[in-house]
Amino acid sequence: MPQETIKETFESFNGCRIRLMRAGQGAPLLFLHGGGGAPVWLPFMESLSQRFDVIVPEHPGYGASDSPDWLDNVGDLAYFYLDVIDALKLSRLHLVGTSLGGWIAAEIAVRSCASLATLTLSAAVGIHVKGVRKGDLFMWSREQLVRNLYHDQKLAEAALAQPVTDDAMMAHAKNQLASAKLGWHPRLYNPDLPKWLHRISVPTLLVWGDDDKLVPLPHGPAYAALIPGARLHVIESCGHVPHVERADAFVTAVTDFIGRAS
Amino acid sequence: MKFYCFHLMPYAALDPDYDKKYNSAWVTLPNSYYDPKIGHALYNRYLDELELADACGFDGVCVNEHHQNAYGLMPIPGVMAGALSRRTKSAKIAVLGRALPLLNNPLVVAEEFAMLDTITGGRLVAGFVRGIGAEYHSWGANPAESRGRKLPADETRGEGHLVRLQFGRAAQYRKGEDQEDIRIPEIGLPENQPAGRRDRPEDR
Repeated sequence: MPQETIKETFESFNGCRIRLMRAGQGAPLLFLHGGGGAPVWLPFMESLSQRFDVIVPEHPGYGASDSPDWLDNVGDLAYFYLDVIDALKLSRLHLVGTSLGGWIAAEIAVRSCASLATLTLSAAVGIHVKGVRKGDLFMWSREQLVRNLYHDQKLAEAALAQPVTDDAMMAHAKNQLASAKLGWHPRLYNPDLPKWLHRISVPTLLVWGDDDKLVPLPHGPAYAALIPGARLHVIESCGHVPHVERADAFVTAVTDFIGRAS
Repeated sequence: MKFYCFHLMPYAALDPDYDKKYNSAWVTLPNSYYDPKIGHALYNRYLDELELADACGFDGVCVNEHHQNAYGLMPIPGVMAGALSRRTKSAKIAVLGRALPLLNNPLVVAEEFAMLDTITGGRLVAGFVRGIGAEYHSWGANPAESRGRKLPADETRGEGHLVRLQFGRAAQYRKGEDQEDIRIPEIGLPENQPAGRRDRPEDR
């Protein structure tokens, strides 16, 4: 990966300092990470940056970003990012969120689609599907969590074989605290969100792995039924992190969708 | 020096090999391990033991709060304290303690403690805890809000009614909400004074 081309900065928005990674040229694409944070530039980001101006912030409360006093719920992050979009003067923006970041993206879009061109939600939490149990990332041990993120257990074993540094442990604890604040109860969803998803007025793609053990596949069609015109793209032999486990298929799905929608 | 008899009321009949099948005696231990007939016998045995402690001259008896585990069978310690309040005669009854951050409305503890203190003529010792991590899984309460919901112990000393002060502050977990915003009913105010057994009339 050509790391030297990635611009890593810290920027303050309304007094909250967050870490941003940015690379590529083209239409702006804002990627919102899940509960694991966004510590490094991943291969799918590199692929997307061939066509887009890819912007990857770390959410307030996560990673190297500030943990502001005002952060209480996902709605707070939605308004924060609407301010970020304004401050960075982003327009015709492609908003892509995964897992918790998908929830944030949906909450942004129900508030305002004015600066958005498209919306992509991948393995998004945020809604509850009656009778479908989500996995419990707060109860799982680290090994259970890593194993349940992937369909291919070889990938899980490779991830588990990585040494865990003190810094990574601290970052994990910080991220878990923020995720608990946002999603402990009700567990990772907003009961009011389904009432307002009809407000999303931009082309919307839902991406799901067919073997998602954290946010099982039925969440995809449930979201699709609530967002006007939304389409669901299922990636086979894939768990909760399509952008990592099936990065090529994920990038193809997103770029094809954006190409058709633009 | 005071002597208190502290009971945790464990589920003593837990199979010794439970840990071969389950990784914890808390939260995830299935209900199939619990036999309510044994639970009935254990509760009554444990209450008998605390009543005996009173008869034997202990200065106080203690109960506490834990949820969904085999370690202690007192999710609502006030029930045990209520049962003890009539059968014990001179021992203090210490509830050590109620986990206020788990509650959406801590008024319930103020009412409970006020009743216990009044029934016993001031024998209640009111304790408050944050609760250990497992309680937040059992109860669905958000651990990220825990610190904000619990008043530091030092601030409880010195002024006002202990219970009144404690629950008034405990209700401040909503940001921007002042103690004055919490309506405190003037019923059943406890007889105890904070941090001051020596301040009670009979102790002077």
